[in-house]
Amino acid sequence: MPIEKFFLREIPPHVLDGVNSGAYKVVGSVVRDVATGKGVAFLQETDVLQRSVGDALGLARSFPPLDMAVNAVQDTVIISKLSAIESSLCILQSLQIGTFALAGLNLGVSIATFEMMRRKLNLISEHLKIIEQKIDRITEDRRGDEISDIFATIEHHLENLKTITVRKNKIHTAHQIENTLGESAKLLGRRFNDQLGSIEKGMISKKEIELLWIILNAIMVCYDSRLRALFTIDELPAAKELADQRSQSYAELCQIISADTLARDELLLPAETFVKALRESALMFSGRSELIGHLIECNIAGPDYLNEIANENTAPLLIREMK
Amino acid sequence: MSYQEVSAQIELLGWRDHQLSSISEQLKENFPQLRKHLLKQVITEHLVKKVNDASESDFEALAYQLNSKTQKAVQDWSIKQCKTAIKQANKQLKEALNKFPKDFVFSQNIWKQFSIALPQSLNIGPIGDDLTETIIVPSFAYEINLTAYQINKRSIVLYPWPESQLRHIRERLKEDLLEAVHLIVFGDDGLGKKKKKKKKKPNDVDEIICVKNKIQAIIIQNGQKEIQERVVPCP
Repeated sequence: MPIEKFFLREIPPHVLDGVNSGAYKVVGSVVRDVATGKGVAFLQETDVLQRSVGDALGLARSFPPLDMAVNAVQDTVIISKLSAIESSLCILQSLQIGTFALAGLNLGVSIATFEMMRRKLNLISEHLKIIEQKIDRITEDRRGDEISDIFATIEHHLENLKTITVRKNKIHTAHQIENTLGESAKLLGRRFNDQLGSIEKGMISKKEIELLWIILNAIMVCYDSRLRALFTIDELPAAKELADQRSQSYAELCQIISADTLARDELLLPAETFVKALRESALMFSGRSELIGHLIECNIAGPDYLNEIANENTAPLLIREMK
Repeated sequence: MSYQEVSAQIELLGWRDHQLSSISEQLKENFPQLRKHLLKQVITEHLVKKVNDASESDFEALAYQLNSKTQKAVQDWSIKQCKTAIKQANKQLKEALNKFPKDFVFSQNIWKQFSIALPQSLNIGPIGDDLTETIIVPSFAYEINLTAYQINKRSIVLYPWPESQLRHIRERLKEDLLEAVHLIVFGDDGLGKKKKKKKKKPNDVDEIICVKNKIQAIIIQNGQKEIQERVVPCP
């Protein structure tokens, strides 16, 4: 028996036709009318999509190192596989999959549970250990150790968040953890900036760019977790503000970083993937902010929205049409 | 910022990043032409003959001629590259802007963000309409004079030079000149860390804004002007 949906539905033919004909365009997670630029609908991914895309890409589902992400973005066979998974996924043909490597396709609200985020962080942490051995400079000033310490703190909080829904004082606890995750994200942001600032123009090394990628992924885990925590306790206005801030931060970062000023020759492609992921992340958070604004307007509670996505087990993509 | 503003900003930053990489790629692809031209016209036909015939006192004049010939060749090549890049960038900016709906409003917000989207390394101040004035190669003389100075030093000991010494001087001059040209066109960011550390540079070389960065700045500033014209002023 199909699961009843209240807020979301499967992509209707008119939206698919619109995208296929070029009348509509998918920008980030929003379907837009090309002629007017107005939003038509929000896309919301489900776990079915994550599994399908992960299988098609052959990526470690939660955290692919930068090399893998670069290959995935370039590989036309993978892209065609992706579009062939299911008919409704043809809507994704116009999307780039660069950000998939960073945090999923990021259509709508993140579907990753706290446990999934914890597992992702573990993978990131393992990869950090591998590469920090190869970066003398970082080993010297023990920057890698500091990052590992921050990861340990984040992991501890993710453990606590897993039980948030059954806690007596869940609102207070979620606020506390959400704030602490914000502090951890800030510390990681500082490490990211330090690392970026130490790179000579056009001279980034493979290890340095991998380290930036790792920190960026970990920051993403913090913000996805914070947003989910706020959804869980139905603090949507705060979630909207957070998504707005994040979008702005990524957009500002994109202004000062370009692949050309970071890297040369064989590292240009990884640098392009990295910068592209940053740009798409700015769009993703902005799309989330718009979706959250819409949910607030329509009086849809955060936990109800999350439940509806979690209960979907057949459709890879759902849609919320804008009235 | 609204979603539309963020997506417009991201679209324009995508255009910027593509231009920065394309210009690097274009110069890299076409640099061998310049190198070939310098080797043939300047180095082989001018330098070799002059070095063979030169007396000690001729070297100052030779360095001066080399400077101006090389400088002109690089300048002409750079302006040609810049014109090609401008044409390409304008076309692509038009395509990027056409992606926006016809009645799309370029708000002050979008402009504010894009107006500061010039990477710091390209901050060369306002650019006028005259490309020849913008793409000037002022530090050439210093590089070549340095080379000429090395020859003069040798000449004190060795003049008149045996053929082996002449060959050495020609090779050194050729190498130094091509290295200087590479530095002027691409800056020192393409040299590689080891080579960069080893390379003895005149003290003021860090202040040189290379041709590549100048062209990149021209393209981005042109794009900024084009977008600024579309911005709707605040009521």
